[in-house]
Amino acid sequence: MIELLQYPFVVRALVMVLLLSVVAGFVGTCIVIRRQVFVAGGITHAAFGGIGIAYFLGVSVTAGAMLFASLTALAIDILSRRKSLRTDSAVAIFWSLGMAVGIIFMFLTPGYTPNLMGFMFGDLLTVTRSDLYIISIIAAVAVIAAIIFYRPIMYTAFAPDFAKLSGWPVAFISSAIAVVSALAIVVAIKAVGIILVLSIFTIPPTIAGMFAAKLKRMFILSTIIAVVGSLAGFVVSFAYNLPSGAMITVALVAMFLIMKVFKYISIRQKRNV
Amino acid sequence: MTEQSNPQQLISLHNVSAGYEGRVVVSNVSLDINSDTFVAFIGPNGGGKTTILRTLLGQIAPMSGEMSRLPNLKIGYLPQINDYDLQFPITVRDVVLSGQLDGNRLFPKKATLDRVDELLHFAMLDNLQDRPIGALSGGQRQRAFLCRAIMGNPQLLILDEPVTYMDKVSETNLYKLLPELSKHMAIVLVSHDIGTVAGVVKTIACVNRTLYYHPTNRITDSMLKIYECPVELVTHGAVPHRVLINHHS
Repeated sequence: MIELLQYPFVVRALVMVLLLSVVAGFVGTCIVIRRQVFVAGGITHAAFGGIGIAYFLGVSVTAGAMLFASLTALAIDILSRRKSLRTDSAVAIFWSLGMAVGIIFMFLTPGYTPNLMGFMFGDLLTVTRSDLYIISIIAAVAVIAAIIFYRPIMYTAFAPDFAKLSGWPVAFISSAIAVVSALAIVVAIKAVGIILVLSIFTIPPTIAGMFAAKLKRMFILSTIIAVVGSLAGFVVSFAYNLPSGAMITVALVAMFLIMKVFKYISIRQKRNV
Repeated sequence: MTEQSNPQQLISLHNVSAGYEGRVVVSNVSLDINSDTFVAFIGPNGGGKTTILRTLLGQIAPMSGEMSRLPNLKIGYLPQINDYDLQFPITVRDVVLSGQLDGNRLFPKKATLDRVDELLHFAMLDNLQDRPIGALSGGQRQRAFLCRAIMGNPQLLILDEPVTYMDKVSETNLYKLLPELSKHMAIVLVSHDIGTVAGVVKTIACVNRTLYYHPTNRITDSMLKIYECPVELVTHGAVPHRVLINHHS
């Protein structure tokens, strides 16, 4: 197994898994505590619209997806904050619109048969050097912002109305988190695919939330869980030549089930003492 | 905290009407809130208690009438019990600290943290401070939110139905903190339970489409008419109850 590290694409995949875990741990925790898992799902699928348009125009797919996903994230954020539209309805509209736009533009692109499976399920072995630069920047921004703005992130997620009365820029923080989430999601699509992005952003924080009483611990614990789960999934997928994104999802869900049982047993034992 | 000598006017409403989207909920509201005010707003559901609170908080503007507010007035607010995410990873200590209004709020200084300790002690929550907020009982949680409301040293404290769904012991534990606080700040307490609050506050205002201010805390016949039945007149525990007339619905 170790000798595989002489292949650059394997090393790039591993670095991607580690950095993606950091992003998932920090950004994913924000998504989960703000109860925006479904919003993240909408942004993920809306990104596909950007991918389709970028292919049609012949420009950078990552840039197209990032722009489209960020605008969608902002639109959902603003619409749901104004309460002019129910959040889940707004999400559903952008979710399906993104998929529709994406597929239409892909069909319009002359002479190109896009690898749809690649977008849907991702492939860690196709990660490029520039993907790694992008995810490094996002990981750094996420971690530094989480340290500096730890308190406003916590307060505005827990009690937005009270935070607003206390003079915190609730709308700005909400939009900023939405845009960073959108950028993180686009990078994750490359690795684990549109269908499976949600698993890496939501399962580790959900497991961490079962054990962490403090937001700090939830950030760190979900990063560790994401590292363990995605490394395990990646190694198994490589060994048995299975799709990496799907294997990572299965590994994370397996961790979730094990931890749930562990928690259940430990609570029962405490009661019996 | 320093005790106040000369009461200062904080908010003044004169013939104010307020509501939402062009629909008037309360009208002809005249009320002065001074630094020594300790008033309970009582009245039926839909009578406009929350609308007046939201006007005082500055969340909605009066539709007519005059309202003046001390510039930079600091208000502490204890919202109605609502759907907090009880699995949220936040400790009792951090909930209290989230009420900080001044100073370095990203990285709180020692003086701020000392004040958190002081408040936790005041609200009998010292040994629960590192628990997640969801692990507390309803009464303990409301006391934590009360600490959050007064953390920023407000001149005015607004409590919106603070004891809904609470048992009598928890209710008493919360209410017994208020007289001490009223030495340092004005308090507006909203309640549907006239019997319990009458013994706590200095004055009562009945809110039912408009506001009737009573400069005492006695329950009168006219109050009960405005309030509309039923009224809970018997309380238990340390809070004294006042039944001035027999009243049957």
